[in-house]
Amino acid sequence: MKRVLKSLMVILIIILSFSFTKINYPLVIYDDLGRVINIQREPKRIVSLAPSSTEILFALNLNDKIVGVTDFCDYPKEAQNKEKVGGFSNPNIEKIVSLNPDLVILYKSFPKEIFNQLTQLLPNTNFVVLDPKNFEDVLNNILLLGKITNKEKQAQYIYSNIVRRLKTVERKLIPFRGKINVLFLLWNDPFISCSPSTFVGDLLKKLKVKNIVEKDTPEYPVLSVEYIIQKNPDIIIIGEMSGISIESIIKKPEFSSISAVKNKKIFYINDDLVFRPGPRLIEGLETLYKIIYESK
Amino acid sequence: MHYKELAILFVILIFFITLSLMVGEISLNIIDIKNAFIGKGEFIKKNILWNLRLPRTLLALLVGGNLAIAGSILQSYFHNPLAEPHIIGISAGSALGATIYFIFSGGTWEIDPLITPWISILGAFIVLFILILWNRKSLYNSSLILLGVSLNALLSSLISFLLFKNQKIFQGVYFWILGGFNGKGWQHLKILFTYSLISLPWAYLWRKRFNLLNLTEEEAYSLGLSIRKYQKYFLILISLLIAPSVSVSGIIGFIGLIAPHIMRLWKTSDFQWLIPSSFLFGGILLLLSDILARTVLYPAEIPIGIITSFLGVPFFIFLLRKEE
Repeated sequence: MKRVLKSLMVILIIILSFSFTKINYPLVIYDDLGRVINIQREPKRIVSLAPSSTEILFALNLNDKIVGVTDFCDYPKEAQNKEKVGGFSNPNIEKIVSLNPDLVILYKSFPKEIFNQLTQLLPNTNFVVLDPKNFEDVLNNILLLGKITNKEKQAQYIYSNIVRRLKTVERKLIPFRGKINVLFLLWNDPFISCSPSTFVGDLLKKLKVKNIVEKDTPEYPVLSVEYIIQKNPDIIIIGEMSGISIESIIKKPEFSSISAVKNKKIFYINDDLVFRPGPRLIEGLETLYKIIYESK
Repeated sequence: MHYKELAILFVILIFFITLSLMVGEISLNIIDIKNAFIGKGEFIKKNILWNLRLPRTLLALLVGGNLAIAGSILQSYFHNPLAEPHIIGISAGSALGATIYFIFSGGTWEIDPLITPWISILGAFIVLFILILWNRKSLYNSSLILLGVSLNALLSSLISFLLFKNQKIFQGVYFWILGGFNGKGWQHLKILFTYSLISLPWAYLWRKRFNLLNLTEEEAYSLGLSIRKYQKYFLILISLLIAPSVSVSGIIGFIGLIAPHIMRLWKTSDFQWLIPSSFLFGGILLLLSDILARTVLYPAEIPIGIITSFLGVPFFIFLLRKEE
């Protein structure tokens, strides 16, 4: 009797684990634009048309299923060995068609003209359009792509890991009141910053600091020197790719009254961590936290 | 007439058309192309040839031809060797139309790529209307070119201002203006072809009349000929050549300047030669540019305007030196 029970248990566990790991295709999902997408079978040949979706797909352990990425997809390293389909605003249509993908991931910023032509040339391919606007949308993108590619478990794992790290940061933020003025600099000739509606802006909101840019649009406003001086940022954060040197900011005589300059609170951050709507956004949040609250 | 030279140009054009159909991610040979035309062969080859390369090739050919004819007429119209299709503000009107449409649709995703050309043609015709009104009031062609240049500057600043205010559409408009044939298909060709059915035969039928433009206004007057009678129609024709081309391919520079000049230097400024030869040579130049644009940095595509100037300008300078 005991043996029968034992074997029954084993069978039950096998059936259970089977039903947990196996997604039943066909699958009907909605992408970020509300387009209805019928996924007939598990995608085997995926083309990613943006660096951030490439990062999500790699995080979902889909290395062997990705057949094409853009010239700008540089993370993780393995992405650089994938077939390139050109830039994301001017990709090579023939190249994408010849890769014969069954799933193409792209963002709403993709050129519509080329999207129309691709959907016409690849009638049996699923196109998923993402349009994340903030941190939470990115988390949902990860879950969505996990569901589509039969990596739901892995997606859940990434999701809960990110949420746990987010909660940790939020807990540490409890004592702070949010009186720190921050200037994020993308460019210095002229000075270009990011509005609250960008991903950087969203991260700054989460960190309870005041972005000195208050209006949502334009997303990347040009700031006058006077505006910056008047807003008097306590911290200046510079995107590494801009190539702005901290020295040049400190040495600017008109900036000498700014507290960030007086206290030498000027820091670099890796742009990709705070601009790419992918799984590394949480790393961007943690890095910003360290810069803002833990730097001396 | 220079039938032999036209035949040579035609053969070169056929060569480039074939080449344009052959090169790409999947290279096709003559047999593949023949098969695709009669409906045989692999699906993917047929698909790429019919839906990508053929419309793209014909589009490049037509745009190049239209711009070159427009350039040849404009150069004589203004008695100015520097005149080119984009100088009189028609193209800037197109671009402004497209920009305004992009803004009203809310973003680059919301636009319908097939409505854009129509709105941009509308923008161009509004500029044409201003030019014609001006032309009725003023006596000299030279003042028209000044108006064109100022309109160009004004409309370009207006576009910059609108883009500055609406960053979301910046990239879309930027790539639209830069121009090229990536993503363009049969529907775009249909728009341009419809207009070309009017403008190209018109230009060809009037080829002798354009020779009037080679005379100065005084010369024409002393011969008892009047250019003024035709001026309005010349402007309409030029716009019909430029606006649809710009609306489907963006602002592609140099072709309209260089192609007719090279044809002038080769043979004569007689429009009986200039109209057909500019069309063929403009088509050849733009086809070659498009082939290079999609192969040089493969798989990335270079904006075609960069290629046209790299290709055309050195050759142009060489010819000018030789002429001296």
